[in-house]
Amino acid sequence: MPEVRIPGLSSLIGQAAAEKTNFGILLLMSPPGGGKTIFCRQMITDCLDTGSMCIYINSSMTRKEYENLFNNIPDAKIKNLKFLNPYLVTTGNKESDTTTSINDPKLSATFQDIRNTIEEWSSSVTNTIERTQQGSTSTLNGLPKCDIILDSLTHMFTLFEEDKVLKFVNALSFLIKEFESLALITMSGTQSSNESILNKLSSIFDIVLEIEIQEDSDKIKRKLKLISIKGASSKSSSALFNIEQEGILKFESEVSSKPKLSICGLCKAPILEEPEYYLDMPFHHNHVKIYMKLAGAFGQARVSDAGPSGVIDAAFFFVDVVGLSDPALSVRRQIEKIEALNDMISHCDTFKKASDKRVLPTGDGMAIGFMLSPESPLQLGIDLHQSLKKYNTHTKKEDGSFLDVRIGIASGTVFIVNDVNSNQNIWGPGIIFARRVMDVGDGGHILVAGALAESLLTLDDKYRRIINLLGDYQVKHGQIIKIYSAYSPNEFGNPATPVRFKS
Amino acid sequence: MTKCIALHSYKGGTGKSTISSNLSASLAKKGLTAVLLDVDVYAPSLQDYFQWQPKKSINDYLFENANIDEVIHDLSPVLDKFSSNDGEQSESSKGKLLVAFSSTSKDEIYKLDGAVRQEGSKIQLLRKFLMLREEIVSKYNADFVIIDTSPGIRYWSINSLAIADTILLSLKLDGIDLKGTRLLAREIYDSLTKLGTKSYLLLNRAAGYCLPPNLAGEQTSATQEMFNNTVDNQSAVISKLNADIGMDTILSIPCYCDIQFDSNEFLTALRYPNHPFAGKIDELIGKLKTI
Repeated sequence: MPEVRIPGLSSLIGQAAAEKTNFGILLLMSPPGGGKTIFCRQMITDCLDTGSMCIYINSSMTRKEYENLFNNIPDAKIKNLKFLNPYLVTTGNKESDTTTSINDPKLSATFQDIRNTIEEWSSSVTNTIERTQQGSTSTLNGLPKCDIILDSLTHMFTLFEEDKVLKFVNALSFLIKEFESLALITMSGTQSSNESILNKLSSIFDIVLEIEIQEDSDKIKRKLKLISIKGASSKSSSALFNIEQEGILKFESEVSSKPKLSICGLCKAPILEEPEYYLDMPFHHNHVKIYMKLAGAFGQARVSDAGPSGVIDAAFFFVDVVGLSDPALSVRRQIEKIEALNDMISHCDTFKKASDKRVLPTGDGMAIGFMLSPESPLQLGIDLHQSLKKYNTHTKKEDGSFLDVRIGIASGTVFIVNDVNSNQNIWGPGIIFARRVMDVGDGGHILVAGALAESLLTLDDKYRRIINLLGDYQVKHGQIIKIYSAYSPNEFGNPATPVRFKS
Repeated sequence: MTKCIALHSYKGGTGKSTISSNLSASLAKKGLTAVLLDVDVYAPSLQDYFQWQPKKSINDYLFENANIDEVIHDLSPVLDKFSSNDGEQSESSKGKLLVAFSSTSKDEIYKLDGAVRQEGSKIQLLRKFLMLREEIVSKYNADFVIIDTSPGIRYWSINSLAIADTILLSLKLDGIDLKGTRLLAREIYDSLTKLGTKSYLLLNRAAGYCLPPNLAGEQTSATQEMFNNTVDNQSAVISKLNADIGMDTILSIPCYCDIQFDSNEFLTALRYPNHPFAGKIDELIGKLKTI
């Protein structure tokens, strides 16, 4: 599945284009205090999450500082991060580089170290794939890559001669092309203050970004601006972002409480790319003219009326807090639990990364519709259970602080309806079905409706290990549904048969 | 880049299917990839042109009973049947003729007709129809998509016109056709052309091919005069029509009696590459390439 590995890029160039930016060199400029290093850390974290390897090059940082900066990354992932300080690199045992003409022993040794790391990584990925797919490795496309983050070029100019640094960057660019990797290079300052260096390296950078700092009363606002793509100056595309606690970057579109779901005014399907608007209606880019032509031929009203509440298929995640209505539980405790659940879900990777979701709060939980990916609801269930596990290490069942949820997952049809605020929303049998499935379960259960479970089972072998058939169950109105339970002992889900099932 | 061309007319019998079949086959014979769509859903006839009984039709695709590969039939072997030593054989071996048929089953036609009367299913069908074009463009690398539409102002013909880049309005030069063509131009084509669709008149069965009576040994001053008048009047009618509706004539195909009265000859341009009709199709291809 495609991922966006550069923070905020989807806000600048759209989700689809950002997903395609999976190799090339990006330059990020920022005045001091703009958050370059935090940006680098976010990108490294995101890249490691996708299974990629990262090389972090910083000529001003000691190993201890590096370890402090990345102490939030679990051991299982940090092994895929390599730190290099060109100034501190030892050159004694390194073979002299004869291919790049960098002409500086430290930079040359650093480059050789980068090359060796990328080669070893590519080779190990290829071997792994060969072992699992028995030799069908015709291409490395879509496989985990080795990304490079150089933070910062400005500091390297203070330690090394300029032409040698430029040769180093040039050699790096060939390496990036050879291995189809992604590199982020940072520089202090702005487009105008770096004009001379930018001119010298203009052909190397695929995308140039700049962080702008705005002071708004006592609060600092940061804005990520797109300066150019492939040398062509960009329109004024920018995205505001905050650096939140623990140094996590939050872009404005992600901060907003309700992500906008755009449904094409012609075909009524979700729009993944940036929508095009006509008469305030969103459209797929290639559907605007067709809509206008049909409106001209049939009349505006007739085309607009072609399904005012468009019908779409989606996969749903339904969750509620178990025992929330227990009269023994104080209202304060109830609110704590609801807020904790909302907070955990909003921080789950699956939730954050899905651009196609719709959230309907239900009071003691929520329903989330995923318009495009049938895998997202189950993945969200797994993510949530992992967060709950951590959360509940500080809670007790006895004092009512223990947070237990049940989850129902199903797919089905829903209608797009306009709510009282004129926002497009969804409602229909698909959501109701997920609710019915959830109602069958007890605390800890992740129950999946038959049709969706069976399509997941055919989709990927990994689901065979975690999705288990419970059997048929009669829900409201005599409807009989097949139910599966998703679990992996001690990790997520509840292996016990639901009480209602036994009865 | 794929060119999407719809053949439309005010009423039936103007030669849309004959021209679109021969046009598609001739494009493929010239080494191009042509996808022919039978969207004359109420009176499909392309199965007869290609002597082909498809297992899956466009109707199946619209109702999600078939995927794109199942409804696009590779009829390139038809080209081999007609290949000759006219120098185009090597080109035709590179070309592809792909055809999607409409179902001829009465039940399927009723089902499709009924579904477009219900708003819920109508939008699903429209979405699938849009996908049909988009999938053809993305999967088959087609040079040309040729749509044989239903005549008149009907749901599927208007949808076909909306997804086309170029419309060829096929007409005979009788009074009803002329009146209907003016209606189409005013009611439908005007809004399409304003949004970038190109539209042209394609005159079919025009006068001028049959041997004048003087050459056939039956010369009389009266018949000669009538023939000359018919040809002259036709030219005046066409000029006036072009001016009235603001559409140019892309091609004028004479009335070929030998084609019209042949009971089972459909792919004339392939079978008789030296027939003037084949020359006219080639002329049309030449013009379409430059649009």
